[in-house]
Amino acid sequence: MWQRFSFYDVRVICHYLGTLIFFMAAVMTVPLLTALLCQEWEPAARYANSIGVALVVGALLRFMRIEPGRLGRRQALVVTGLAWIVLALIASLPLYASGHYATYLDALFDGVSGLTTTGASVIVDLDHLSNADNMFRFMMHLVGGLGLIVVALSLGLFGKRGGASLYTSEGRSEHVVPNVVQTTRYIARVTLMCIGIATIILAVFMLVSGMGPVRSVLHAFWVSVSGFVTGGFAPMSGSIMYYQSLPIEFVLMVLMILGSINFVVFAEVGRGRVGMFFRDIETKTMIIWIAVMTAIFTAALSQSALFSDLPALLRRGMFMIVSAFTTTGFQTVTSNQMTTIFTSGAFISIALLMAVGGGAGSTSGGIKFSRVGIIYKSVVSTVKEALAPDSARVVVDYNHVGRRVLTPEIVKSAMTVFILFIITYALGALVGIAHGFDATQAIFESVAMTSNGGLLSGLVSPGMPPTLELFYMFQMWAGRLEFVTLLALVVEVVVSLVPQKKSR
Amino acid sequence: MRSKVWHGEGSASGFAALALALALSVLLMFGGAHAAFASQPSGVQEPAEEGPSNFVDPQQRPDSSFIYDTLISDLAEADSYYNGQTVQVTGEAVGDNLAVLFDEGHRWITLQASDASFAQVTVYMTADAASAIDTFGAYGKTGSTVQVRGVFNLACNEHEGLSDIHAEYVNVVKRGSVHPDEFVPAHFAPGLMLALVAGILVFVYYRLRERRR
Repeated sequence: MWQRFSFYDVRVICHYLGTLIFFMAAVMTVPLLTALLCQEWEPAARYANSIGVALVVGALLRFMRIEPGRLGRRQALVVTGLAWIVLALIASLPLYASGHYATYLDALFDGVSGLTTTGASVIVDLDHLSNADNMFRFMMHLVGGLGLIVVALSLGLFGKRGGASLYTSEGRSEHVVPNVVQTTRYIARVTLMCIGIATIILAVFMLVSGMGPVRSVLHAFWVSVSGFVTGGFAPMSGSIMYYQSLPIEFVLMVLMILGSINFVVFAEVGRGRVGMFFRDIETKTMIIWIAVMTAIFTAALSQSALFSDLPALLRRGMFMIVSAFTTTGFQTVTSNQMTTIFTSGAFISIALLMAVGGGAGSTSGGIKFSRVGIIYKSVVSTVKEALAPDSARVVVDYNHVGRRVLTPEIVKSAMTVFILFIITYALGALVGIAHGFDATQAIFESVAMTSNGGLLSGLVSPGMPPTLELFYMFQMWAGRLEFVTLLALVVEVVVSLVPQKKSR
Repeated sequence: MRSKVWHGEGSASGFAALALALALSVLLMFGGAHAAFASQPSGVQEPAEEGPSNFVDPQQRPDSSFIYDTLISDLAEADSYYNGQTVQVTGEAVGDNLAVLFDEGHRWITLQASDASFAQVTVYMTADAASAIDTFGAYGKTGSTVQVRGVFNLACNEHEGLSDIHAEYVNVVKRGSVHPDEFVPAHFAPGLMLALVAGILVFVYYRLRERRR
């Protein structure tokens, strides 16, 4: 029996969404301050107006319930699910008013892409975008990468109650420390530390390469944010290729890899348990998967007539592999190069790397290494059971912050999300094909959207077909929430809207 | 407006030789054609009698390695046909004048198409040529319009597979301009008013909440 939402539930949900919109207004003060400091008066006025709209909408929604009470699990699921869309709608206001988007839907697409850290963009004339607008794009990455709910919880926006329900509803289930608020603060602290260090190093490299001091610091901060939260937005149209700098690419590769590691494993390494990192099922899966895919990618790309020399393979090939498996979406080759001089094997290898993604509990998207590792262990368990005598009890264990026994519940959970990802990849590809696009590119783009990978082969472009754009937005949303929250939201809405049969 | 012209080192003499060869070829062709048509009053073209003074090599293949006035958007979608061809593009210089690692004599410049495609191409040019660009496009700045002639590489062997143009000739055809934003206080008025309304709403909300307790 599905449970229906009462009007009380709707009011509580609206109240908390209002709180999150307040939070978005606070995020917008960062680009407002940037605009004021850089004397960009038009963006400053635009952000001031958008903050005003967000505050009024947020305040009105909070009126829906004066005493919101404790947030239940079902309500938390809906708040989290809707937050990504409601906040994207608010974020799209200043973006669209910037005049850098062909349609409003394009601005909304970038809002969803920014918050879900997909990093695919349909902005036009990016290189003339104001510092304020760029700052906002990367702030969306920062709060979206950490998790809207994680940031809100760490700031105490939801009070002391209801935190656990919200935390798990955002696709996170592991706690670094038992307390949810402390866990979210730990995640924020690690993120800010990594971004801070990377910003300093990258700013020096950018200064040396001839960029001005202000531009160096801003660009260094933006690409550091984008790299660590595995977002993919870049301040220049040429993505990371623009900088033409091997040291910058190297620092960003390290940053992307750090961003793709589970925060729980981070904490263990921080406590001095380095051995645990290498024994972890995620690390083992990552090493095997990346080694195999690198070999396949290199073999496939070496068949290309124009891209087969060793320096090109090492520099651009390696960067693209890291960018793909961490689901960041930075590029050091153009989309045209991927479709014209990459072999189809190399092209699909990149898509497969994005499809699997990085570590669970990290900022990466995709299926995640832990699920692939657990499914592999499940296969091992099945084979062992087939070979063992009837009286034997087969126990398979794995390492993840200590030794754990593989249970049917863990396998079911991993398999469910795995299958949902595969179905969504396939559906997105079919939608792309139905719009008349090349099948290989349609598959690639569908994977890039669902895994929040963000590497593009050319289908995502300004003024793209609205139906395809809407479906891609749905894919980004579904992939970021890892389906369960989204499905729960859809079921709740459908069940609540269907009229109840009168009992006799 | 004055334009600054720069010729790539070593390539200037090469280009002059190419131009001379082209001019000679055209003269010879016109001369040969005139001689041929002079003996055909009806204008019907028939093979001319080739004497010992004819220098045209019949084995010479047409030279298609020079594409004049290529669109940057075409290069952004280029296939292998364009690889290694000499192209001439014109676009706005955007971003920065970036150093080339371990190569002090050269710089990286990004040219953006002035059409609605906003396509870009990376140009590898000498530092001298890059210094002629006075403004780089950014917010509030329109970069210099630069014409570049050079060899297009779909995946450059010299630069680890980068898609670039190695400039042989650079010409700044239009200076850039700076157009900073104008501060108009009235543009901030709606935002301030909305913030005031929101402030009142929040105040009322907390008053209502306090009363219920």
